Amino acid sequence: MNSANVSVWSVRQAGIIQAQPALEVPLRRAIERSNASDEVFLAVLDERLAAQQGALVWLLVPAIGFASFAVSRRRRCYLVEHFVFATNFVSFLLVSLLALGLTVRLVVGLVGADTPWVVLALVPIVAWLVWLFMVTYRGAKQFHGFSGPWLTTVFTAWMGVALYLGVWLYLQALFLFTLIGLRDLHFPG
Amino acid sequence: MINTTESTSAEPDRSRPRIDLSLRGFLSRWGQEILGWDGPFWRSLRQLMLSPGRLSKEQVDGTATADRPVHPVRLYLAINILFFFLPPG
Repeated sequence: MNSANVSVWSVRQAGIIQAQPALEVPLRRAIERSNASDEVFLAVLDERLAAQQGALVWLLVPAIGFASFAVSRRRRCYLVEHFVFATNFVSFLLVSLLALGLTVRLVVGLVGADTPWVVLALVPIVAWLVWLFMVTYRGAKQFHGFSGPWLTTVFTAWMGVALYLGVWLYLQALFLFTLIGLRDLHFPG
Repeated sequence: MINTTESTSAEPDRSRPRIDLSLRGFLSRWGQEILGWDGPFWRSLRQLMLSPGRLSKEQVDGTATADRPVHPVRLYLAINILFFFLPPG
């Protein structure tokens, strides 16, 4: 099995196996144990991953909380304070992603997926990115107490990195836990 | 000597404010908090969308005593339920 041929949900989302070849080992073992072909097993895995994608979103909370604590513990010394901010930040992400998903679907439905006007779907995505930046920037000023545009922007960029790493952690954990859940799955024949 | 009058007393404490434990009272309270536009849930959600940093500051520092925001975990769980009914993808 070549990693470039794998088309499971998490790979489509973030290219997780291509960037983390070690994950191929448990995947190969699981396929051999299940006595199924690659295509059949990956189809089942794909379906399970898509169904369970919401189960581990909470992993973003400690990722963002620790990242926030790491850079601003002098201003807010209690870890729990940063976890409160992280919980609100993840709640914001969920609601804003919900709004973004509905808007993109609406735009694509109005202009049609096969027309060149489908690039209009980029408008809400760019707007969402600007919104995310503004909210994080404001959070750095209002909650963490950063002052000055440069320091605040650096903190905002750091939160962006933490969010990326958090999503990375989330996808890896989702992939591994789903694979473990498929351990006892045996296909006939 | 053991005083048994307090432990065996079945009399409710009249000095405390009573909670309406009827189904009607429960639904009314639930509706006020969730469906009421000016309820704490929607107020916190509006603030979450505009500035989660300020909301976090109010929750941590307890600065907004009159309009106390919803607990962050409670807000997170409510949003997860919303996410369950309206998946974005």
